[in-house]
Amino acid sequence: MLQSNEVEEAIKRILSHKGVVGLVVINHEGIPIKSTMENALSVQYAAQVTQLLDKSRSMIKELDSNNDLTFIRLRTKKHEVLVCPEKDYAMIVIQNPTES
Amino acid sequence: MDKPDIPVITDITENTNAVVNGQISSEGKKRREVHIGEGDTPKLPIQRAQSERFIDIVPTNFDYNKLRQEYGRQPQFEEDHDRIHVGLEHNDKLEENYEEMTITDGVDDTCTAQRSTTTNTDRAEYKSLSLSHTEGGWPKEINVRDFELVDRTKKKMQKDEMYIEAVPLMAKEADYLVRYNNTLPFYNRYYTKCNKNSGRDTKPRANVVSVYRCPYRKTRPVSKITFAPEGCGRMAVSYCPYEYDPGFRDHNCEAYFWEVECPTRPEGLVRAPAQIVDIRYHPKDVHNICGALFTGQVAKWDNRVGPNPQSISKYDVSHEDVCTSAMWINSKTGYEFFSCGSDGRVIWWDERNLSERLDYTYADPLKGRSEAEHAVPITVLDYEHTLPTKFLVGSQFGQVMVFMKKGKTPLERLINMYGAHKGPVRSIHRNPVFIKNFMSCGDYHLRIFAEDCRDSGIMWTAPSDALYTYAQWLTGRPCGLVASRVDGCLEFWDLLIQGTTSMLTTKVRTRWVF
Repeated sequence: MLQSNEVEEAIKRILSHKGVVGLVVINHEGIPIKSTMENALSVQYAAQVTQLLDKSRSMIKELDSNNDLTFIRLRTKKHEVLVCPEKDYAMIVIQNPTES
Repeated sequence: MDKPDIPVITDITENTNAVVNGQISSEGKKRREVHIGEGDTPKLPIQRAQSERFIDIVPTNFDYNKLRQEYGRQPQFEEDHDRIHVGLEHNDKLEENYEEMTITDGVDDTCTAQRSTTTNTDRAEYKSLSLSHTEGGWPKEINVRDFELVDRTKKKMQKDEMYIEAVPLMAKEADYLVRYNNTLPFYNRYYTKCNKNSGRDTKPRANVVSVYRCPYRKTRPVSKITFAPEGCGRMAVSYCPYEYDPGFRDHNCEAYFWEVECPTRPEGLVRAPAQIVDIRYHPKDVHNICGALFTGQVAKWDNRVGPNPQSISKYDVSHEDVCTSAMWINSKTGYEFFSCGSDGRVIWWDERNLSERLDYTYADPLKGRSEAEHAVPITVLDYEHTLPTKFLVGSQFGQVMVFMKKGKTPLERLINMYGAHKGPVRSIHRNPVFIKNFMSCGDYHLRIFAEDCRDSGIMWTAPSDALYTYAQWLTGRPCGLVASRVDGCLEFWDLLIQGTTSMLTTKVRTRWVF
């Protein structure tokens, strides 16, 4: 119970930051386990990100087997997508970076 | 062991059956004689009889086995002429067994039938479809549409240990990045405006550095400014009006030396009995100064000794009119200078003895003649130390003459004469870098000449607004000129950047600039 609290707390903390639009936690199969956005959108994100993760991870491993992917940052016109992979899961955060 | 006797097929004709030749002997040890025909040599072992037609027999080989012991002696051949061994008569009765076919298909190949072209197989139908995958990864038993089941599975997955471990770690990383993004927007386009201002400030500017006021009360026109050689940081200024104006006669006859850094007070002065028109430093010795006087004389000073001239040339050997310019020459002794005057003469002097002249010539515009009556008054003189044999002379009437210093007679000295300007030539200057080119300034133009072009100048400027009073090449830039005008403007020209107009025209004074 405490541990799941920790999970909730961590997620809440991220959501509390300025500009964060949504958050999705996916497992290795690409199923969105936890999501703050609507289902269809999170499923889409999950599907796309899984492929991207796989591709980038394989690319990095191939170039240097000692290397590994730490995170992916995709800056788009509208917002920024951050993907943090960790063991079998990955966390996707969509943020609108502030314009100064 | 005896092999069974195999009949040998030697000849097959259309009408008859296979004829077996040869005596079949069951005794085995006898030599087998094969009568094939007249004169034929037997070939052992015979796989196939060579004849006109073959029958398609499967198998196509006949194993003709013969015991080794049966190989006998070589067959002895003997000529056997005209003996009919076999005689086959025509048997008409057999013809009834056959029917003549007018059109037949016959295959005459020994190999199996094959086509040389490709054939079409059955057409396989392909269709291009994209894979529609909305959601996947779910275990088989769960129906994705069943929301409850999906929710329950999700909740179960959230309870997974690995999940609980992994999320805080990921969250930490994501947190860092999110905060990073919030503080530092580094995806903006910066410095877009800076590039627009990158055009350098290429407008030329000229600033007045210092103003040197001569201590004399009345304002006098400056006739010459010369700088001391080798960057001593000194200059000499001589004052004299060109026009013969009695009002100016009262001016004192001094020339001042200034230190360039010190514009308030002149450093020293020299005096002369008449006004000094031109004053020059010796190129090698700062203290040796020669000058041209208004009376036509030349004088020599030593700066260290005192303001009075060390020696002045005598009247009778000097110029008969105003001596307009005096310059030091590159000579072996280092004591020679020459001067030119409005009387049209160019006189060479030795500074040690100014009572007599070393040499003289007349600036006679006509080549081959050098006479006093035809000499034109000279206004300017130019001599470049890098080209010691020639000097340039500009006359009152606008002619620019190139003289050669060494000539056996004065007649040979004039090399070339250009009718450059319509008024007095105010200045001539050889380009310090490209000594074959020189520039003259007169009326409303600046003209540039190349020595190789004998006819006229190679380039000249468009007529400017005011008369030019002086012009010189810039020492820093071989293509740059500076010219001063009557209306008080100083023009800077750069021939490579803008050959047609001046780069910069700054107004220095409202009145004349010499």
